[in-house]
Amino acid sequence: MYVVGTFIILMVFGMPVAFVIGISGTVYFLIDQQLPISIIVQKIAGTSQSFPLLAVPFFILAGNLMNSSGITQRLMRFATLITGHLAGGLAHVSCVLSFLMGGISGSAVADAAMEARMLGPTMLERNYSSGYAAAVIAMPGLITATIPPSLGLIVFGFVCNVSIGKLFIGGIVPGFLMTILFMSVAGIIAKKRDYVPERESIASIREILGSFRECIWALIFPLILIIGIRFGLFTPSEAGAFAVIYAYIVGKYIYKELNYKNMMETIIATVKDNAMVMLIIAMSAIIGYIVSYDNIGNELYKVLSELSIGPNMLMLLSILFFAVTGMFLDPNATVLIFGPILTPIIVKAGIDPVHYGLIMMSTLTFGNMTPPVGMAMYATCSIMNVKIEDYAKESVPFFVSVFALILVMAFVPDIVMFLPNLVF
Amino acid sequence: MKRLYRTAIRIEEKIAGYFLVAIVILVFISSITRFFDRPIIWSVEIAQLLFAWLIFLGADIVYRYKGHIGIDLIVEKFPEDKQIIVRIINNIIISFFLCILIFYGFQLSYENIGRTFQSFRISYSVCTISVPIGATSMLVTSAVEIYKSFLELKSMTVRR
Amino acid sequence: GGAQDGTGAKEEVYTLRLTTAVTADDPVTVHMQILADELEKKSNGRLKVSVFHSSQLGSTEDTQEQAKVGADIGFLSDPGRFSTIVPEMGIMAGPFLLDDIFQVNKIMETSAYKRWVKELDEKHGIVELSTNWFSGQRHFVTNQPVRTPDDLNGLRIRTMGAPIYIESINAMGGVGTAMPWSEAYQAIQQKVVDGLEAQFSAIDGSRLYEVAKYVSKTGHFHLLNGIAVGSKWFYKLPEDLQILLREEAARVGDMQVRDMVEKRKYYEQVLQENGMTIIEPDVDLFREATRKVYDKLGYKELYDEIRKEIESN
Ligand code: NA
Ligand code: NA
Repeated sequence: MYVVGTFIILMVFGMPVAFVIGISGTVYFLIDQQLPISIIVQKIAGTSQSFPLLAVPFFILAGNLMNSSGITQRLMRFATLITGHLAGGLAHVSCVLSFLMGGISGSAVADAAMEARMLGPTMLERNYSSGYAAAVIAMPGLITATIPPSLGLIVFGFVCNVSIGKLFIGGIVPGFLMTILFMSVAGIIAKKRDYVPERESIASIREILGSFRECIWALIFPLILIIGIRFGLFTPSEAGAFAVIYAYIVGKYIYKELNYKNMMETIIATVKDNAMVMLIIAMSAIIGYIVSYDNIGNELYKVLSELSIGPNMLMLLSILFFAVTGMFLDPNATVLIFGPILTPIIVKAGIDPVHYGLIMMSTLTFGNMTPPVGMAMYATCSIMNVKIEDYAKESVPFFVSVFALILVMAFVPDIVMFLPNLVF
Repeated sequence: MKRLYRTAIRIEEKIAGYFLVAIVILVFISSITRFFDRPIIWSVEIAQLLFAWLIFLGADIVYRYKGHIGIDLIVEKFPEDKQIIVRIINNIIISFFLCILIFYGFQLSYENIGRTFQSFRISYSVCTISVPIGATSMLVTSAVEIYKSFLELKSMTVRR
Repeated sequence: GGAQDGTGAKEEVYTLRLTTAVTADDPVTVHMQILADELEKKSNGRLKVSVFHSSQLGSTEDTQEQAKVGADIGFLSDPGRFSTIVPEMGIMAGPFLLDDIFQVNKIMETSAYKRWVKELDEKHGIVELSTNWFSGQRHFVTNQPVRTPDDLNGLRIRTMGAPIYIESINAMGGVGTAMPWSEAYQAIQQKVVDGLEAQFSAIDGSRLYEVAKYVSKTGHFHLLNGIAVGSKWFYKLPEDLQILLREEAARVGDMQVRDMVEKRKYYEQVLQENGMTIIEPDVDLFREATRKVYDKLGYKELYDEIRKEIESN
């Protein structure tokens, strides 16, 4: 109780989330005289010792390297060629770019921040409403996070002991669907408001092919990644290291845009991004420990398994629960705390953990884009100088449609499970 | 004093950067060597150890750039001087928390010096101690923040 | 605390959390729950004990550390793990140290064992309650029949990481290869290794019959486990509870050993039903082959000392 109280008060007063989580957890240790406080340090340090989480800095670095090595710019040119002629062209470019970036980058927040810098100013110049511009930049981050590789799925797989390779492949179809969904919603709104296209007409096949050839190096990477993981050539964490080396070689020797200076900047930026994400995960381990130690996990498990609700109801309740927690909590922290409790329950109810993992991570990652707490939303709005209120207002159609898509994914498992079942 | 502080900051960033590069290379090497049936297990364990340091040194760097995300929605509505006071209080609470991490972190590292990593026999405390050391540098950052906030507050009251 | 004077002062209730890395349905976890219930019953509720499986409170190293710094944590650990702090204890993981698992109680009577336990307590803050818990014997799992050490010649065999395991496999003719258990299945499938060594429950649990044909019942290692708590916590207990804890840990351990021995038949049947061939090899040849391991790792005198005490009892 004190833990929750401390959490809310500190959160309201704007303390950084990582410290809010750490300090609320510490309150429990201070009250329970029996529990040695040094366990806090053990839990914080121990988080760094899990191999799957090493993928976090790798995929952040790979994403950042794409920007400094010229891969992103080429992908953007390609995206503009194929969708620029549609109404609200830049909104489509944002969706397609998120989709293309998704093949190497794994983080929704990084994607949103990058696009806010690259596309944001131009969108405002074209007289898109500021809320709409921020929304079409922040939201498609979800695509990047769903198309493999995906940080959220790595964390889920690690915490709940589910094959990360299968989770990755399960993300492909939902990632496609999200791209189509976001483009449709953004397009309908743009058409209504007469937002200008980027190009007058469809690009010629020759132009498109030319650009395609230019960014072929980025486009084939996801294939290498999935084949490599499928045939056991590398684990998802090692795939992260491969992605980094790959982006480095492409940037340095093929596009020749990477030099010592922007390389160092990229590294320091990654050190910061990684520490921000990992400190939250590390601090959450304290809460995760308390949940186990206090038997909250086992109790919740008992209650839920005695209720014996069917898989559909369980799925629906989970989505609602994660939609709400996702609004307030960091997705990784939520998975770390609730994943281990819920996974055995859903397995017992006959739900495939790969299916569940994708639903859970989509819902939670989407929390990054929703007020009041959402890192992708903060990053985008602060870079573009957009008011959260405007963003929230313009986001409603996207919220509704993503929620609908997640429900469809939940109740038509084949959307998620078809590919993993086929491949494995 | 100021110059010393700036040098320390630069060194911290350099170290963290090199650690990141080393981690990538170590993991890459381990998967290559495994592919050729000559697995080296310790390379991943060293990568893992460096990861701990990368996180907790990095956490201080982020802290200095005010990069750890929080919800500012409510505090933003306060008048400016109240915002600074809230910031000072937050930093003081964080400092207390950091002191706990420092004290118990060094204690744990000392008491459990006998615990080793699995495949290479160096003390696990080399990992554990990254927390209190990272916390120490964050405590310095926090103190600097508090000092700066007080100066800001003072200049505001002078202006009035 | 406690009610020494019997004037109705409230008796203090102590909590204990027993932790293990294995899953909820593992026979070891099941017996941990039995231990928890027995302790609670026989202490008239003065000890409240709960069980945490699947590393819910952290890895074995983590829970050991938690116990050491004074938390109400008990943990299950193989004695080989303690060899990093009490090197002699590594011998308990040695090949063919016991002729059969029931000798484990004799080991706990030896002066060497008492010496180790004392050192664990006084120098490392760990009270080893009893070391007679048992996860089964290790056998070779391969795709070609292994009847003698010669059959192992040159085969790459996955084993656990510590030197004593690798040396033992090498001594028996194989090439000991350490890798995480989670990768073992795929490693056999892709012929990264030619086989592995494991206990029945793990062979069944990881469905190794899908990738390997033979189980050769060498039984070269006895997978012993001990239940331990932290000294800081333990010595706060009233004496009667301390005694109760030691007695019950040993008694339920005995139960667990018998249960595991009875399960052998069941597991053999399951593995055969899934298409594996079970081989009865010439165990003496393997035992002979591993003798030199004790010399090599500097355990020669200790080995003789322990064997003498076991055989004289
Ligand atoms: Na991705
Ligand atoms: Na985007």
